[in-house]
Amino acid sequence: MTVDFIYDLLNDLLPSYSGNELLLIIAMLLPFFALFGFITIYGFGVIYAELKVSSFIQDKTGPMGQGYGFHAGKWGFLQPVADGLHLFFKEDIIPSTADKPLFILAPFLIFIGMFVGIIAIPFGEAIIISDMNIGIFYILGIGSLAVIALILAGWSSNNKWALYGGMRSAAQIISYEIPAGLSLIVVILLASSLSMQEIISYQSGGMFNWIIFDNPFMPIAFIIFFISALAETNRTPFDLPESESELVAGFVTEYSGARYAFFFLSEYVNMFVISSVATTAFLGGWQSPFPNFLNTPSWSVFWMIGKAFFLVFIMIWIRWTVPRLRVDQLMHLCWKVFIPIGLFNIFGVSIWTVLRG
Amino acid sequence: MTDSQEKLIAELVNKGLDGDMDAVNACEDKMTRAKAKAMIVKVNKGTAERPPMPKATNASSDGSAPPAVVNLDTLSKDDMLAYLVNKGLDGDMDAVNACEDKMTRAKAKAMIVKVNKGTAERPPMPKAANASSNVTDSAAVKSTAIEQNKDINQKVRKMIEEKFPGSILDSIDSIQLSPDKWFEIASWLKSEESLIFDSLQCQMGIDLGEDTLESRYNLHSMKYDHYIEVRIAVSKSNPKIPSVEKIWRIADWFERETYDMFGIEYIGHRDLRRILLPDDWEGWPLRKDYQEQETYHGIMVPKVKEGWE
Amino acid sequence: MGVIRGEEMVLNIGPQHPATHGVLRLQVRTDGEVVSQITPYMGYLHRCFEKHCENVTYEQVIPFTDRCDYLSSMSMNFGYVVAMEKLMNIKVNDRVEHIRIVMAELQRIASHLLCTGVFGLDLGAFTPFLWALRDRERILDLFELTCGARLLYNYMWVGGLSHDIPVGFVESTFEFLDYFEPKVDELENILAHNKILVERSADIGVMPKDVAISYGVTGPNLRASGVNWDLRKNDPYSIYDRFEFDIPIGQGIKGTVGDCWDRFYVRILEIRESVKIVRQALASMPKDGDVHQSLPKKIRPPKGAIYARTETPRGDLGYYIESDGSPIPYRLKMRSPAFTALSVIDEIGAGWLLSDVLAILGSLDIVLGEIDR
Repeated sequence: MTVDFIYDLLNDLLPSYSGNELLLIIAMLLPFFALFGFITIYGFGVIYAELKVSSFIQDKTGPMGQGYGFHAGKWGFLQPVADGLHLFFKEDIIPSTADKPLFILAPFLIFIGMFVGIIAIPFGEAIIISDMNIGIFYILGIGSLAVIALILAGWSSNNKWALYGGMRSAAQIISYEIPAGLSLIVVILLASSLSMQEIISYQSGGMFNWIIFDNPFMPIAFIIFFISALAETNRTPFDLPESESELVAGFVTEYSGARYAFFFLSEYVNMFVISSVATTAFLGGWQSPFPNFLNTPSWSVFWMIGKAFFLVFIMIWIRWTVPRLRVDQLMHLCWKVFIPIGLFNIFGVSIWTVLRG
Repeated sequence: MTDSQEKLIAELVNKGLDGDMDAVNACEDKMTRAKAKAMIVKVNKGTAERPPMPKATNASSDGSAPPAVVNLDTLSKDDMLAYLVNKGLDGDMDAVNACEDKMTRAKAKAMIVKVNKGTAERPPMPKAANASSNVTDSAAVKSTAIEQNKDINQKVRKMIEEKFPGSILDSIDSIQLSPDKWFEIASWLKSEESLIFDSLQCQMGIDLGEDTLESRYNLHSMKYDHYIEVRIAVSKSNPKIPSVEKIWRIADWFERETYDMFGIEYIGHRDLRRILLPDDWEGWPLRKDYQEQETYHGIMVPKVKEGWE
Repeated sequence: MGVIRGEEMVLNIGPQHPATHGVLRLQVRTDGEVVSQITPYMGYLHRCFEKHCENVTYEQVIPFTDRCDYLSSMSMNFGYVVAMEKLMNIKVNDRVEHIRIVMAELQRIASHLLCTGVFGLDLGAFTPFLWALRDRERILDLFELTCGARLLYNYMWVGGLSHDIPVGFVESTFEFLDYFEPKVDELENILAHNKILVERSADIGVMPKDVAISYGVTGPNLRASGVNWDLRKNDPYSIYDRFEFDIPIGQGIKGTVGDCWDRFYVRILEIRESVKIVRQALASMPKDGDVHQSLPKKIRPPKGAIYARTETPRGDLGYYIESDGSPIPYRLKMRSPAFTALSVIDEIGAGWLLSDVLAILGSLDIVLGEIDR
């Protein structure tokens, strides 16, 4: 939607160039840069939030600064900036026995996999970069690119520990896509569409029209989707691939500097993308909780980002509270617990829908 | 023989058996002295039982030094002097220094110097000091424990002599064995019903100088809560002892460490290699005649690093 | 790059690794994720403690003992001092004994807090580690108040102590204990009964009784396997027989007796018992008494040998001291509890997954300084 909107706007503003392909390109690039800027600021914000939330939970102060001199800003706001800068200035070390092309390719692939998902996220009724009629399906599919990237990272490092991490993570992500998909199927059943905007429109009219409150199977589906989301993004309790205390640093053992920064930025962006999908599917997306109050387009951006950030905050909270699961327990949870429940959900929701007419 | 004389003889016999012949020699009464010495010979030969240590002087028979705090109020000045001089000449300067009175202390030290030079006679040890100076509460309690240990050592030594004749060599507060039948004795120690030494507490090596290495084992029984110590001596040129790692599994690592530090080889050990030092280190560090190697993989080893830039 | 063959992989955990509690190298043979053999290689922290002791005087050995198990230095000092006082037949006064017990038990609490926190950290629970360390900081502050050092104290000397406790120490300690008791309950709730942690550690690395005794494992590891053996009760040294406390034993509440969870839980229970002992010791401490009263002018023990054991947070610490009448020890051997605890890892660790091996290693509570000396 947005691309067309801007294209028309530019056509009106600059009639002499109307129809020119350059305008189309500009129309595509502008929202992209806006979104890119948003993601960058989000990246700094979520790293800062992680540090501060973990400090509150762990009874310590976390990054603090006095706001002048070389300190990290007042209350440590500039800490993530400092982190980012120092990572980019580090020496780029590639192990001599590593498989160079694959080693360099892996961070790019994971970056692409995560970032391309953003274009399908709706921030408002007309604020979406690409309104596809298979929105949800597209995001889930593109997210799987991460698997290839992780396996490449683990394999090309030529390091047994990285290999362990890569294998574990591949198994984990592939397995947990199934419960995630099953949970989304019930949403699609209700909304009868794969398009993000249509699912949100289905939930219009206030908080109690949100899908999560629709019928008793929905909260279960939401919980299963949320936990599968934790597993998809390699967060504790499923962070075996990068578990610090076991595998040194898992599949990123050999990465340093900017490449390492890519991996971790992608993880945070993935958290945002998956939270947005959860918000869209279960929590009403950009709809305001109050039926006719605060639902102008600018407020809808606020609601969407607010709900997604709330889910990200819960992910950070869970990370610092719970120990991690072992690989076979993780697999057991996925295949023997979540998938049966997911299938049961689909069954239940279908019957509910039929009975309710 | 009067009761007190009997007690004195028993005390002297115990002291002599523990190695302190000076105490026996210091006894005034010739008859008592002679009887005590005869008794000692008989016990060593095995034709007589070792008499129990009389209770009042328990502390003096355990072979350890007199305590630093000494109760000498009952002695007169001359006796005190004689007592301090004797103590000093025996090597215990702490007792001399612990004396409160400056004059007596100075006199005693002067006397010691004179006796050492040979210009004065060594005064005899006063009797009262012997009896009263060594009694303190904890010493009595502690030595009962050490006494018990001695008893169990004696008992086990007898049992080993019965079962494996010819293995025991002479020793006082531990069991000295020769390396030949150590494996059988060890398995028997673990399995024998009245002993059950199922826990090897500590195994270590020690370099006794004069070409002797010893391997010492501290055994403990969880069931009966008694301890013994076994010592096995070998010469530096042929340091081979049977390994007991099949009996007490912890002996596996303990013996590796003793091998690492002393070079004692344990026959029958499944994987005898160095444990704390790198595998290609040369020498046995805890021996008294150990010289460090010059370099290790090109790094200078000795303390004074001359080639160190 | 070559072809992947489906046979055993040999993996090195360490010597630089966040979860090995020091510089330890575990060579692990794995078939996929299942471990078939573990071979520990140590000696990276070997500092020739026993050889040093043959070259310095008996007083100068005490700072060396500090550095062996640096996480419970008071207990190392205590063991050495008990052995020397037995050898030289020195009796110290009541005040010194009480202070020694207070210090040793506070040290036990600190060491167990660190161990339980690190066990959680190894399994991915980041937060309880910081909570445990926060409380441990307060204990280290108490130690700093007394002798000026936070980690390596050189506090217990043969025949007495280096410093008397300062004014306000008893009140501060009571304050700390009142603050601390609810925190133990909190730690237990968040960590010990957490479902994920129970699943990661129950029934894992089971150590049966006879294996434990044969391998010379002592301390909380042995008690978790069901053996009722604590030197403070079975073979009391100092004045432990005057205080009332229980000995927690592993009962297999969440799984088999002697699994990782038991070893971990026994330590939490021991923290509570130590708090009891500290309270009793502070209440019955005599007000007067000179801590330097029985310090000998020159330590020259008689000829002879002694082997004495004390109970440290990791198990039975034994000092075998052979003296030849001079002020310098002839031979001093330290039998360290962590050495025997590590020896059992091949026996109980083989056959489990790689993550389990790290959980088992964490539950054994080893400190490399003590193993390598």
